[in-house]
Amino acid sequence: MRSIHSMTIRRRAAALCLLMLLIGALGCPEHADFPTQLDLIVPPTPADFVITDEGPNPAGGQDYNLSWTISDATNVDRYRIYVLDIGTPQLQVETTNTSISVTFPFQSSGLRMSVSAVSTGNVEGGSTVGVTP
Amino acid sequence: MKRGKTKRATAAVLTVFFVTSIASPAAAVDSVLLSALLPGLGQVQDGHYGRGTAFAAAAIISVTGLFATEINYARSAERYNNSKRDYLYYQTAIDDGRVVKIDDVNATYAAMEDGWNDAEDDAKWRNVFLGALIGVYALNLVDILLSEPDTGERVEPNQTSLEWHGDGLRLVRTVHF
Repeated sequence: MRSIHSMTIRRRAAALCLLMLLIGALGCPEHADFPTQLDLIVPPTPADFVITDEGPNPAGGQDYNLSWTISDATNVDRYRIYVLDIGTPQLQVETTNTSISVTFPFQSSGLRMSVSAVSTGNVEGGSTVGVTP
Repeated sequence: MKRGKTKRATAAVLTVFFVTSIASPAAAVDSVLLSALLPGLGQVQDGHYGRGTAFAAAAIISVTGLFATEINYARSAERYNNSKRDYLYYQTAIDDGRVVKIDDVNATYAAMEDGWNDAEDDAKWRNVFLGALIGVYALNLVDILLSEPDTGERVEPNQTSLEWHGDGLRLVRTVHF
């Protein structure tokens, strides 16, 4: 009688062990599979960024001509020009050409600007920095 | 409120169960069940204090290590999942016609990769402690199933000796019954 009682308890103990192991196994969080890299169309970085001072304009501002080159314009949709020295980079203008004239309402010698290309896949590539003369 | 009462009642029942099982071995619950609840407890009830302490210590160390590595793993996994969500969101932004900067995409990818690598390392350590805990638990159960309670009786070893008698030396073997 005692041995039957003991066997029942041992079966219950074994069931309890299995339950604890199951809870332990289910309780472990998993980090999901590493995602594949996004298929991005990355444009090349513009080069030879030159800023030319074109002198004061009749309105009292200062005109500058910006120009750059691009190694492969196949997937380039447009270019973005930023002004860097006023806190966070400010988008100044967008153009589809590799040169543009900009006007500042003040003499801005030593002002840093950057140009970057935006691809047809809406990805903005690396930038090149230039300084106004 | 009701759950709090239930928890307190469960804790009280478990405490009474634990104390009575240790304090009065005659009325104790089966030692296998005790060892199933806490490694080493059944061995202690059976009088094998050294083994019981060793199993309990090994289980506590394994649980502590498992707990610590689980926390580290959860943090790394969360960091990875957040970066992954941000990274995959760039595709949504592009599909919606918004421009994303490749520098931001690359920085997020690097953060995601770091989180993944950390999570992989932490998962390995977590599995080490989990394996140790399962091993200790299994050994503890095998031990309690195979061992007999220590009744306190000492078994004298059989002794062999040489004794001098009048007619010479005799080899004497002493056997205890």
